[in-house]
This record gives sequence, C-alpha cells and structure tokens, in this order.
Amino acid sequence: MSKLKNKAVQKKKPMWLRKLLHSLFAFSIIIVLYFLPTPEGLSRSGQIMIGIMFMGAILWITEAIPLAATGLLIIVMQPIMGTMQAQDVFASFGNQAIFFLIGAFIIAGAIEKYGLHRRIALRLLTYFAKKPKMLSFGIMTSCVFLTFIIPEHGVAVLFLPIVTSILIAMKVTPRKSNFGKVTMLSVAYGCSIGSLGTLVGGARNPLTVTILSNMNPPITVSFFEWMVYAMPVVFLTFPVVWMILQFSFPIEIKDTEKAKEEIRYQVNTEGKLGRSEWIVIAIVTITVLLWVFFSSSQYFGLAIVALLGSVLLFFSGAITWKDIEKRVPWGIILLYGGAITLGFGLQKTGAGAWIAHSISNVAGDHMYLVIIGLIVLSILLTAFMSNVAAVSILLPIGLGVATQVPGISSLLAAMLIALSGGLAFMLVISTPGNAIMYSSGYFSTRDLLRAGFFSNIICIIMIFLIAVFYWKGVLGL
Amino acid sequence: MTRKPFDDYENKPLFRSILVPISSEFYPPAVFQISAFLAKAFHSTVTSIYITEKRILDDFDRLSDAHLSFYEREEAQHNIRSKHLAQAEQIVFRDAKGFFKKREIPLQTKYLEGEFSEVIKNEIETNHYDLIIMGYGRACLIDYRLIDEISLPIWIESGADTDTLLAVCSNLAPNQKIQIFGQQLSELFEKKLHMIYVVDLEDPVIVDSTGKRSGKKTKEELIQKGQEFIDLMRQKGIQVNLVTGVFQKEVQKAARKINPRLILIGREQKQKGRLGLPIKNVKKRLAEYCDYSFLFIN
Repeated sequence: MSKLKNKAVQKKKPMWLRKLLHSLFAFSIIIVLYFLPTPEGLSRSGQIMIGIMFMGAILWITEAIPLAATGLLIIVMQPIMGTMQAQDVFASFGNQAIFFLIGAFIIAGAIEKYGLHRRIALRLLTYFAKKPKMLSFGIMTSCVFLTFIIPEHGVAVLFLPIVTSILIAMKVTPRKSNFGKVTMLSVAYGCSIGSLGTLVGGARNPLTVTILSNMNPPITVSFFEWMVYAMPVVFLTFPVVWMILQFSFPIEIKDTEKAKEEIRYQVNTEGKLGRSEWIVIAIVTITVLLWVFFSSSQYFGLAIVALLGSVLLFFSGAITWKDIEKRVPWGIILLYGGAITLGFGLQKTGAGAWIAHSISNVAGDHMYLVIIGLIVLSILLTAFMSNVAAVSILLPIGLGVATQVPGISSLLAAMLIALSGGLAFMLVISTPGNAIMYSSGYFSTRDLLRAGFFSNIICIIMIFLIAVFYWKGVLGL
Repeated sequence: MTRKPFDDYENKPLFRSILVPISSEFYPPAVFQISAFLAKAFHSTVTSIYITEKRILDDFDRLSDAHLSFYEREEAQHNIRSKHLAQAEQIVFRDAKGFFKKREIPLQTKYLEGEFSEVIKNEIETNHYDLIIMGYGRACLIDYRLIDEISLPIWIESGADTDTLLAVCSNLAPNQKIQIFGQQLSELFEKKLHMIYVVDLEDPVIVDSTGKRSGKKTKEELIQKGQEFIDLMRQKGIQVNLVTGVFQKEVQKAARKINPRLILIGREQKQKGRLGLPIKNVKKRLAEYCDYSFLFIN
C-alpha cells in the first residue's frame, strides 16, 4: 500500500509549482509589453499600464496569490514601472468610498453580532412557508432584501445553515431533490441580484461610484441615486430568475409542514430582542435613512454617514473593537484599493481610452451592440474572477467606450458594467456565494451551469431593456 | 501492502468486508441497496463513511478570503461541517440503517473529512476491506483517482437493473479473476453472463498473469492470444466473443447492445491511446461516459 500511496502523492500537481508558473506568466506579460514597440495613439505609460492590468487579471483569475495581495501588487507595480507617481497611487486609494466600505462593514458586523439578520430572515420565511414554491420564493426574497443592508457574502453565509436545517427537517435528499436545488440556488442567486440594489450589497458598487467621481468632470452618484438606477434591475430580474429555477427544476415536494415546524423552532430559539439589539436596530435605521436622504455631496457624503453610524455603535456599547476585528474583512479593503488604483491608472495614462478606441475600431460604434457587448463581457469576466476585480478592469475601458460611441454616457457605461458584473451565476468559482451554497451538496456543478446560463441570458436581455428604456429613455443617462 | 485480497477466490466468499464511502458532494442512495444485497449473500460486514469534502471547504475559504473575515470564514466552515454531520445522520445513515436493520445486517458508520480518494486510501490502509461500493457523480468536483490507483475491487453502482452481466477481458489484463467474479455474480443475481475479449489496437501489448506488459505485438499476434483465451474459456464451458478495436469504445458498444446490469472489468493496464500518446484514467472515463454499473476488479 505504501507504494500506492507514494504513487498517489506523486500524481498530485504541486500547488507551489502551479502558483509559480501562474505568477511567472503574469509577470511575463508586463515584460513583453515593456519591450514591445508602443502602438500609435498609446503612451508608453499606458502600454505598461495595460501590462499591469493583464498581470492583475491573471493573478485574480488564477489566484496564485490571495486576491488582496494582488491588489497590493497593483499598487506597488505602478510606481516601480514608472506609470504613476507613488503619491498619486496612494492618493487614489485614500478616497471616501474606502471609508464608506469600512463603516458599512462595521455596521454589518454589529447586525451579525446580534443575529439581527437571522431574525429578519426567519421572520420573513414564516410568511412564505405555506407552500414549497412560496418558500423558495421567500428564501430568495429574504436574501434580496438582506443584501440591501449587509454584504452579499455575509447573507449567503447566514442562509446556508438556515436552509440546510429546513431541508434536513423535510428529509430532502441532496442532489436528488429539485426542491433542494431550487432553495439553495435561490440563496446563491438572490444574494447576487440583491447586492446590486444598494451601495452596501457589493464592494463593486462603491468602486464604481468612486471611479465615476474621479473622472474629469466628476460624476457623483448618491446612495439614493444608485438605488433609483439599480432597484428596477433587482425587482425585475429576481422574480424572473426565480421562475427560471422553477422551470429548470420543477419542485416535487407538496408539503411544507416540517419546514414550518423547523422555522417556528428556529424563531423560538432566537428569544426576545434585548436592549443592545434595539440600539443596533435604531442606529442602523438612522444610518440607512441618512444614506438615502443625506449622502449626496451637498450634505455629508457616504463615508461620513457610515462612520457616524459606526462610531455611534461604539458609543452605545453595542460593539467593541474585538467584534470589528472578528467581522471586518480587511482583505476587501486592499483588494478594493488595488482595483481603484488600477482603474485610476488606466484612466490617467489613457490606456482605458486606447483599448476602448481599438475595440470600437474593430466592433464599430453601434450603440445597442456596445450596450450588449458591455453587459456580456462583464458577465463573462465576473464568472472567472472576483466581481470587484472584473469591474475594476472593465470600468476604465467602458468609460473610454462612452467617449467613442455616440448615445452612451459614462454613467450609463458604468452602470452597465457594475450591475452586470454582479451577476455571477454559472460557476462555483464565480463568487463565494455560489461556493458556499454548493458546499451544501444539494446541487451539482451542472445544475448551477444550467440554471446560471439561462438566468444570465435573461438578465442580459433585461439589463439591455432597462438600459434602453429606463436609464436612457426615462432617466436620460 | 502485505495483504493479497484476491487469494483463493474460488473457495471463499467474494466479499467479506465492504466499504461504502459517501461524499458530501454526491449521495447515491442505490449504493446501500446493492451493498445490503451483497452483504446478505456473502455474510459480509459493511462500513459506510460519510466524507466531508475538504476541497469544498478549501475552495470556499480561498474564494472568500478577501470578502469575509477569518472569523466569519471559520464560522461558515463550522456551519458547513455541522450541517454535513446532520445530513449524514438524519438523511444518509438514517435511511441506510433502517434498510440494513430490516435485513438484519450490521452497519458501521463513520464521519471523516478530506479528499474523497485520499480518505478511502487511508481507510483501506488501516482496515481490511475487499470491496468498495460507491456511486459516480458526474457534475461534481470529486477526484475519483482511486479507481485507477488502488488494488481493491471497486463497484460503481448506477442503480439500473437488467437481465444480463457483461464481463470484459482483453489483451491489456491478466484476465484471471474476471471469469470467477463473473460466474459467481451471474449465479447470485440470476442473470445471464456475457463475456467479450477486446483486442485493443491502440495499445498493442499483452499483459501476462503477473501484470507485466510485453513489447509491441502485431494485430495477428494479439488475435491469436485472444483466441487462446477463448478456447480456454470454452473448455470451462464459458462462451466468449472476440472483438477488435479500441478498448473503451468496444466496451461501450457491447454495453449498448447487451444493456447489462453490471460490467465487470479486470486489471486493464492501458497506457497508450490514439497516435500512441500516453493516456490515463481509462476506467474513470468509462464510469463517466457509461450509464451502467461497473465492477472494476483492480
């Protein structure tokens, strides 16, 4: 047996070697671009910046180093390669969206600490647990609403044990049951769709707002304005995606009595709200109201409101620094920092505009084709890499496209990329939400691909229609 | 490995100790039915392991390392593990125990975490088993390396039932146990046994009784060797059909024609494919592309 064991060990590809090869491949792109002659219309810095973009994209896809470390590498590479001054790189990092994210994570951490999100989820589910189809719709709806105030991955993490407990109570067999597939996929897709709705749901949303605000002239988007642009996408796509799930996997279960019992049991174990819970609810409510009504540039701005809410949570004693250390993912701040400096670098060096110009030379400047192209490209890219990374790569190009193609404004291009970039439905590796729900064992990679493919197709059509008739037609973007 | 699981099969029950691994990624309920049937027939002991796939936990950790804090990731992984335990206890083993209890067969259960093939390899290294019964999940991330890498019979159960068995011999295997297994299982299942001898033209070598590969042979030599085997089997009263072509394709062709309950495949050591290029995982691919049950007598 020892012989067999050694053989098995030998057959495994060494992880370090794979990582090394991926890293070398990523760096080789910069080296190649560094020595290639610069094409007409592109600056030398722009050419190297494109190399840095490819390096980042390869490292983000292959994950040879952690996502956040790639963010740091992008920051470091720009001054080293001479594309940007160090102070400019760090200046682009230090914007208010970073502090908005930090504040939003602290507030989400407080909600998670007291299990308020769990209470909301269970309370919502009690209203929907009458029939199996309604229950799956309720699960998706709950995920959508919760991702308006909590980052999407946190909601997926919350729902895994809740939904698994319900399925186990109902004796639903993993993989065999369509009800199991639909409920688990409802969580994964509900979190992705809901995260488009507000600036809190996904880090790519504030990233988009920041890149727009860095433009010349700057374009400002408030919390409320974002909701005005994005909410129709959320409320039109999620029922359609839910219907696709119903058609893809017709539910075989008729009775939800056991599910109701399980939800009732879980609601009862939560007990009554205590003083700290009420304090957190009050502060979160005030913060959300301030975000909606007073976060535009003439009032406080997004970050001030977020940080004010966070500081109030500390003053009230509801959270301690230990809680923050536990629950704030600092990695996303670094990933975000890298992404934002990449976007800034591509814009400043003219690389984004040059790529956009090259694309429009080949693909033409037909407005509707460009809209479809941006949506499809964003969905494809986000299937293979972190959606923050995908959006950071595509945004400067999309903003460049906006200057080339008549009828497409920068804001329109940015919204197309940011919202499409959140629809990672097809692969387990596309987003942590898919990965955590896949871990339940209730659906296969093929189920995910099948449902995700059709959902993505429908979302492409819906975002296109919303872009043409609502964003352009009604809002005049 | 000091133990020889295939010693003297003609005088002993085929399977005395059966291992039924279930992955957290893929639960095929049919494996318990067939393992109970075999255990009853051979008075075997059955052990079932529920394996929480480490790869899933690792993938989640890797994908979310920037998006969730360390504490949140640990919390989520703890939740995944505890829900897998609950799934195993309340769905998988609950059904299995009820099923085995009715037939008065003891069932031992275990929970382990790791990579599917590795967990099974460790388990068979520390405990005695002479058959592994498992399902094959297509659209999942399980790496079924063990099909090609261990020296125990592996039964891959699809759950389908028909009236025949198909036993496959070839120039690429010693072909010693296939007829013993085929005959015993044919009697046990009360199903007609079909045997074919595949002359594989992609990898034109002959594997002898010790498992040693010869040098390259001509087509005629391979057919001659096949004919000798067929004559030997005829003396034992077993009808064998000779076919030439590509091993995997001929097995699939014969399976489509016969529609067997089970396909028995021996210690095939195919190493070369089209244009003489090295190939691997022949058995894994057969399991992937055929919808039948397989018994790989490794």
